[in-house]
Amino acid sequence: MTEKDHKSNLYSSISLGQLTELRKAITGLDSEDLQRLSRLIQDPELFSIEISQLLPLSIKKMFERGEVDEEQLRKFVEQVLHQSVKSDPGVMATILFPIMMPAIRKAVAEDIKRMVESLNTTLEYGFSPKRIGWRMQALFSGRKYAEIVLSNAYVFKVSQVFLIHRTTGLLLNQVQETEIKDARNADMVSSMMSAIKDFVQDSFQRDAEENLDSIKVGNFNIWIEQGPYAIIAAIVEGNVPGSLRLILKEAIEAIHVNFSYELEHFQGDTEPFVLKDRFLRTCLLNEKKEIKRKKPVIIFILVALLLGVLGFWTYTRVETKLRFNRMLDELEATKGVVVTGTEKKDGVYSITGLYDPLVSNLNNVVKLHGFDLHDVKLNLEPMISLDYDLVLLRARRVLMPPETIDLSLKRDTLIAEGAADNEWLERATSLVLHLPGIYFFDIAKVNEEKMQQTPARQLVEKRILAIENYYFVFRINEVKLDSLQKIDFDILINEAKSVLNFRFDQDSVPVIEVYSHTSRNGHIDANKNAARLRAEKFVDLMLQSGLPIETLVPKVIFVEDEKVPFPVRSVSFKVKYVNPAAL
Amino acid sequence: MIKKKVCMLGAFAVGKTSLVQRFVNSIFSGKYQTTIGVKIDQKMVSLGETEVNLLLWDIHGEDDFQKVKATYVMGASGYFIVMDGTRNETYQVGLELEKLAKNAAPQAKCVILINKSDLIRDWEITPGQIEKLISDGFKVIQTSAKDNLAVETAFTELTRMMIK
Ligand SMILES: Nc1nc2c(ncn2[C@@H]2O[C@H](COP(=O)(O)OP(=O)(O)O)[C@@H](O)[C@H]2O)c(=O)[nH]1
Ligand SMILES: [Mg+2]
Repeated sequence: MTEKDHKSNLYSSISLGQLTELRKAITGLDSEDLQRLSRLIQDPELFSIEISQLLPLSIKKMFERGEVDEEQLRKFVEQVLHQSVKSDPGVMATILFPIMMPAIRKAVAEDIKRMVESLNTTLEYGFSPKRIGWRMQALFSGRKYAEIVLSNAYVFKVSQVFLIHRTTGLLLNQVQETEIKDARNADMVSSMMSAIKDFVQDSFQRDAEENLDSIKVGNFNIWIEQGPYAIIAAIVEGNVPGSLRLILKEAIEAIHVNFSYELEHFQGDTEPFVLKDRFLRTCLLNEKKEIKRKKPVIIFILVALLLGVLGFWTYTRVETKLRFNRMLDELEATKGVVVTGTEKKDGVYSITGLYDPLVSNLNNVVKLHGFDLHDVKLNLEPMISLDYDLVLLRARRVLMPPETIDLSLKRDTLIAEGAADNEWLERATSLVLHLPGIYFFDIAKVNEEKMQQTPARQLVEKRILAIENYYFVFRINEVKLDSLQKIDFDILINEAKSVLNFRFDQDSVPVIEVYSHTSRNGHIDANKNAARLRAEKFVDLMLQSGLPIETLVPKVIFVEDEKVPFPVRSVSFKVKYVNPAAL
Repeated sequence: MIKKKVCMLGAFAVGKTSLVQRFVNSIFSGKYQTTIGVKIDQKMVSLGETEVNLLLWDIHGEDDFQKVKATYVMGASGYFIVMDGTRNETYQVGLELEKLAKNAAPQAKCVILINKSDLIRDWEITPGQIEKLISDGFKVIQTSAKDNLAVETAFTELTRMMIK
């Protein structure tokens, strides 16, 4: 037997199965494993997948063993990211887009929702019997008010329309279906809308030409129509027909045509838009539901009853309080009365303070204002008042002058004028200095041989001086006389009437110039405007009191131009005599 | 009525929000600003007989400098650059923001506020630096939102400059 034979014998005697067994014994791998390994090595794709499964683990191990630290790795990753963004930001954006978009969208939706909610509350200030009914319905049924409104009345409606200046976000004008009490919130809402619009456009990376044209939240929709200088934003509810878009477009175009100058040169003055714009209102559309439902009559009656009782209760409370305040004002204004405090206990008002017993029946004041002496208790302590009127009154009571004597008071000097007998004069001189508030007694004009009659001319001149000393100060944009001003005003009108009835000569007639005082501080034109309005309104008041229109001349003057300036926002007067031909 | 957009600009925590809060009435909840990045408040200022409604844009966020976009300042008639007297680095940030704003709204009027004057003993911004601002033509007012010092003055002054 040759060696070759032996070998082949050996081979043949070891079967394939045995060979595999043997290989496994040596390497610990079976043939499947081996095949997988060789495939791995030959196919880079597969190989990398395999490695990638190991890598995180080995990195973790490296961390654990402290071979790599986090700082090093972070630096590396950041560097790679930076490089990637620098070379092509689009790639990174595409990667991040699916992660970020839902978050952004959610955040925007959330905020807009909140904005619309605050908008909604603003809108809901509108009040009408119908609305109160709906509100009650919402209260009883637990449904949202807005839902009720919609289901009850409209298929759709545009409830509010804003005209917003584009670059500044300022509210140029707004219209709404019902009056809104605090329209000033609309200014903030407008700016916020503009900020949101910018934000949305920035975040969604729309191109500059493509504009956001609506924002939708629940039943509410804000439709936006943009022009080059201004935007219309319409708050709509319900199923709005597409034709609204056209109406908004026409409105924004019309506004741009009609206000091209104002828009281009807009400096923050919104008056032209508020006063002259007719277009915004055309966007306030609505379509009412045809179907009439049966109304829950009982609920309506109940609601009406409830409101009636509530209203009456509130009314009487408020009315009583107002009446009380008026009475208190009158008491406080009464010479010789000092109110130091008021208190309400068990429905009874009590007023504490001081009064001069010379003051005639104070209880009458209480009664005149419709109060019972059980409702209002006067706890007043007596005092001696040094008030002008009271000092004079006291002097008259004590001295009892004859009818021919006229008593007057100048500071602390009592002046007697006219004719009296010596007996009275003696008694008076001895008594007078016991009177509080009087230190001198001037009798120089008693029994003067010839009583000088003041000529009419002098009287009129005195009246003119008095008129020219009057002035009335008002709040911004308001001509309303308070109770004290009303008193002055009535006297002024009387003086004016008697002056206007008097002519010095045939060639001239009196006129009253009504000066409205304003300042150069601030926006001059706006100031002038406000002052002119004030003068005109005041002239109106004078007309209503019966002064003839041709005698009243409204004027505006800047306090900076006056020698002795009147207060800003005051109205004062000058009497002039002019040629009637010049009128 | 006259309305004006006014922006609050300045580094983080100089007191922009506090200054506005001293001065206004707000309707929007605080949460708003976080996402939109802007809080809007308003205040009526009367000068003589002119009533001006200021719409105040207060930027929100930690990294204010990054967040100031042109759209935010655009259309503003005025802006405040707010610096924190106790932190010198806010001076430079303020000046950078001023440049940015000047670019976005060239016509707008500017008042620089050095805030936290209640802590004037700890100020890092020096009188020399303030002098420099003034000689560069800036209107500078020292305020304290905390003690309500010169806050009203600052807003009135900017309003006066804007409607001239
Ligand atoms: N002492 C002091 N602290 C202030 C003043 N103004 C603001 N702060 C504080 O500074 C911090 C940042 O204010 P904030 O108004 O949020 O700054 P903003 O980031 O510029 O809006 C807050 O803790 C404020 O209470 C100030 O005038 N004086
Ligand atoms: Mg802030």
